[in-house]
Order: sequence, then structure tokens, then C-alpha cells
Amino acid sequence: MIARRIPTILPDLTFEESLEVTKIYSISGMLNNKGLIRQRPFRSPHHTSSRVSMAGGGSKPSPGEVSLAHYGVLFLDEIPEFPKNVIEVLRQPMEDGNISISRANGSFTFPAKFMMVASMNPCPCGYLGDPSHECSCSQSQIDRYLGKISGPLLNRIDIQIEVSPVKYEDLNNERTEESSREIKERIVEARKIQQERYRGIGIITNSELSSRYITKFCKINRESQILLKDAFERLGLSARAYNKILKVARTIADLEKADNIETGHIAEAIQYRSLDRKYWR
Amino acid sequence: MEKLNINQKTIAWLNSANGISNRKIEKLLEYFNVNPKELWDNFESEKHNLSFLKPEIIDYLTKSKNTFEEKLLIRLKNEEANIITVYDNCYPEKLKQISYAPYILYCKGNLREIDGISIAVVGSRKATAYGKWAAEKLTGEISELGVNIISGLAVGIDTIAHKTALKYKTKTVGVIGCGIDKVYPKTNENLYKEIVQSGGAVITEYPFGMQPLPSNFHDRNRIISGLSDGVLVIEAQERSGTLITAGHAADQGREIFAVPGNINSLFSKGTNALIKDGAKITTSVDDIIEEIMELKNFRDMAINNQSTTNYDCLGYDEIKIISCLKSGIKDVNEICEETGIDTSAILSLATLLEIKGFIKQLSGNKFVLS
Repeated sequence: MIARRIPTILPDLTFEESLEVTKIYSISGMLNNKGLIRQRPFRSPHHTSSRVSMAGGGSKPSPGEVSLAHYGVLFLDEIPEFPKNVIEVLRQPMEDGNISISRANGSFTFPAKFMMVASMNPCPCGYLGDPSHECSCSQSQIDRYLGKISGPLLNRIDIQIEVSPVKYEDLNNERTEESSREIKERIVEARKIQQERYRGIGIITNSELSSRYITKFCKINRESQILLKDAFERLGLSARAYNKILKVARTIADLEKADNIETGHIAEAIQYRSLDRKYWR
Repeated sequence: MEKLNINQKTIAWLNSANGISNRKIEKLLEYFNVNPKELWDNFESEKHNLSFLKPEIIDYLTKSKNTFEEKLLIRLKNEEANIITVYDNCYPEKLKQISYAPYILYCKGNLREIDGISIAVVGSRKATAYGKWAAEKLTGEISELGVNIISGLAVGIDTIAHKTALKYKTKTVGVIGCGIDKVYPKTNENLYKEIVQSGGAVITEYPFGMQPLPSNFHDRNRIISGLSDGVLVIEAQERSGTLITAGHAADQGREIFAVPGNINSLFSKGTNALIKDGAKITTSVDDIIEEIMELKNFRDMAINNQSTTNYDCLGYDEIKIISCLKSGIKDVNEICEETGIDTSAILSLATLLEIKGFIKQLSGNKFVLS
């Protein structure tokens, strides 16, 4: 449900982006006479999808889900249920922003710059660690389930959050939450700051920062450095989390319109590495 | 081990037969006037009268009598393990007293040096966040007294108990339900090694090559309670292996300590039932000290550095979060509702508080005072 709302808080497509997305849908024959696509795509392929449907292919190669989600969201519900080879297909496009497919009839490169959103349970039945339900999974089932998420894939996921089940009282409570429109405004502001900052180096968002640019744009003060060091020692974070934390902290700072990354931003970013900490084991 | 004496040899030989239980060994020894040497010498002549043994076991024993010792010594050497039998001086005194005490223990590490008070910490393999927290807290407190921690090297509470013991540098013994050459579950391979390296021990009564059969764990549990002065049950479901351990402990006259839990939690049904049946309700290490008198001295010996927690260095919002957590485990949403601080600030403060050691994060984005 949260995942489906993500396109509503993303900034609108620019005209150029719109054209690109429309082109992809046009060659796939999925335009249905709708004209220019102005909404960011949201694709949620079922976990029975094949490698070809994900990456694209066919005797005359046509775009797959990764390309149909270009500039939008690719949502993989229950990611451990996907076959491993289908998940691994995502690695290269996540890195490069495009995918090359070669067949007898020719070689094609389709754009594939998408935001991957994935969800999973702590175990196949979903009740592990829940005091009010019995988890019916065997240990080997749980290990196999969690083992589907490989290290390299985790490496590429910037933000990981554990969500607790929704209680009945919360379904209809009166509290006013920030609306999508308000969130979107903040995000648009943050994107503007980022565009300004990365002018001339060919990237748009913090997630695209390479390690060279991280040292340049994600400077942290001495206090934050100590905090990060302590966090790695005491909270059992893995080394691969380091750059991710800096990038996410940069984004949190941008959302608050702060010029520098403060200690609080780093501290918050550390919370978004829950899979690294493996405490459900 | 260089050479086995006649007692060790006889027991190890009997034990190496697949499918011979501790009880059968007892019966067999009784037949030979509880004298292993007599058994060894007269086995062939008497073997047709041993109707309580299956023919294939008798066959195996006859065949392997002359060859098994060499094989066993090689395997022990390869695994860097040794064997202790009930006839040896270094056999744990407490274990000797229980009924059906294992005749033989295969052991990695140094069981000899595990002396003094031991407490077994047991609980569900699929523990809740509360169980894991309680296991770590209580094991930590017990470990600080220098008490040995005994557990079963399974996932869940057992793993936490061993790890916490290692963290506090107290000795810990893992009793497993398969051969000493097998690691089960595989995820605990490093833990096995760490326990042995830290001066603790991994032990089993099962011969080399024994698979972790479900029935083994039932019997294994009697060793866990047998090695300990008291058994601390963290979380247990109804009709679980953990309750079997508690049952053994009761039979063996060990103290049973149970951690109370919410009455709607499946994983506290077993522990709450134990409390109803008279187990000591345990909320801190003091409850354990009250029952085990020797621990009082341990406590006096331990350096008393329990300073009252100092909240002076904390900001206003941090104190708000801490006072909110005083009523128990809460997740981010609940803290958010109670304190009125927004989520991102709570997450940020929580990291800081965790690093400063005031709170701990549990699975499911929940927090608790440490």
C-alpha cells in the first residue's frame, strides 16, 4: 500500500522524461492512444514473472519491466518469492540505468532508470517474532527465505525499514498526517537543491553519487565521524552501509534544506539499515 | 588422547553402536555386574544371552570390537575432541548425580575447567523481541557474577545466551544433540568455535556421525539441566522442548526460574504455566541469587560497579523518549504518539541513545531501555 503511493510523492516528469517514457510504451504497443504519458510509471510484476519479462527480450527484443518502469517505480512485492535468477537480472540495470539485449535480430539498449521498491516478511508465514501468532515455518524454511536476498542485491538497496503490523485503532484514527501533496512539495524543493548542486557533473540525485563525489558533497563534521565510528562498532553495521548512510544523510539534510550534513541526519540515516543489523536472526 | 583405559574403551565401544541408548548400556553393564572390564572380556561368550539387545547391534559390537579404538582415536585427534566417561575423575560431579547420566561425553574444549556455579539459559528457538531482550539482559547479569552459562546451541534464545556469555567473558557450555563432528544448525558454526576458543566447551553424548535427530534433543535436554544448578526459562510455548528441559530440571532437583510474560503471548504460555506450578518468578538476577545461596559470595566477589544511570548529559527530547520507554517495549509509532516528537527526530535520537548505551533496538523497529 505504501509502495503504491510512492509515485504520488515523486516530482512530475519533465517534458524530456515524458517523451522518453512515452517512446518506450509506444514501441511496446502499450500506449492505447493516450498520447503523452505525464505520470511516472508504477510497475509491479508478479513473482511468477520470467527473466525475459523482467529484462526485455523476444526474437525482436521488446522492453521488459525494468524499462517500462523507466523514471518510475518498479515494485517487487514479496521479493524472496521471486526466482533468484529474476532478481539477479536487476543488478546490472540498477547500476547502469539501462539494459542491453542481444538477439539474432539485433542488439538493443533500452533505458532502465527506475526506483526499486521491494517488500518482504521476516519469514514465509510472516509471523516470526509476533507474540500473538505462532510462526509455522521451519528453521530451514526461514534460512532459505532470507537467503534469497543476496549480499550484492542488499548492497544496492539504499533504505531498509522494518514496519510493524497496523493495529485496528490506527486504521480510522483522526490524526492528520502529512498529505502526499505536502510531501511532494518538500521533495520537489529537495530535488531543486540537488539539481543546483550537481549542475555540470551529469547527475540529478544523491543516489547517483559515486564515491569520488561522496567525499566532495557529503562532508561530515568531526562529531558525526565519531558517531559513525561508534555506530559501526556498537550496532553491528556492515562496511557496505557506509556510503549508503552518507548518501541518505545528504538526502535527509536536503529535505530539511540544511546546507551541511548534521549529526542528527547521520543518526537518522543509520536507522534505515535494518537488514544490515540482522537482529531478527 | 593417547590411549584409552579399559573403562573408557568399553563405554566408547558400546556407545559407538548406532541405536544403542544410554539405558541399554546401563542394562548391559548391570548384566555384567556393573563392571566394564568384565563386559569387555566376557562379551563374546555371553552374547547369546543378551536378548534385550537387537541382533544387529550385537553383530556390530562383535565386528567392531578390535577395530573401533584406532578409528575413534584418529577421529578424536582430527576433531581435536576428547572423551570423558562416568568412570573418569573429571566427569562433571553434578551430572553424575542425575538419573540416566550419560556414560560418555564427547567434548571439544575444556570441560574440566568448568567448575563452580552454572546456570542453564533455555528458551524458544523462535523467540519474540521481548524474549531475546530478556535473554540478553538476564544472561548478562548472571554472567557478570562469573557464573557459567549452559545452553543448547540452537538458534533463538540459546544462541543469545551463549553469545552474551562470551561477551561477558564467562565460560559457557553448549550441549548438542548430534555427533561432535557435526554442526547443527549450520548458522552457529562460528559460535561453536568461539565457545571452544574462549575456554568453554561443546559436548554431546552421541557418537561420531550421529545426525541431529529430533529424538536426540529430548535426551540432550537432561544434560543441559544436569550440568546446572538452576535452569532459567526465558520463553517457552506449551508442549515445547524448553518445557522438557524444565521437566528434567524438576526431576533432578534443580531450581527452575521462569521469566513471566504477557498472558496473550504464545511464547510466554509455557513460562507462565511454570510459574503457576511453582517455578521461581524471575525478573532480575536477584531472584536467582535468592534461591542459590552460593551465588551470594559470587556477588560479593564481583566488583560492585552498578552506578545509577545518569541522565544529566541528555537533552529534553531524549529524556522524553527514555521516560516513555520506562513502561516497556515500544515501537517507533507508539513513541511518536506518546511523546509528540516526529518520527524522523525519534529515529535520529534513538541512534544516539543506543550508541550512548541507554536504549536498545529490537526487531520490528521496537526499542527498550537497556
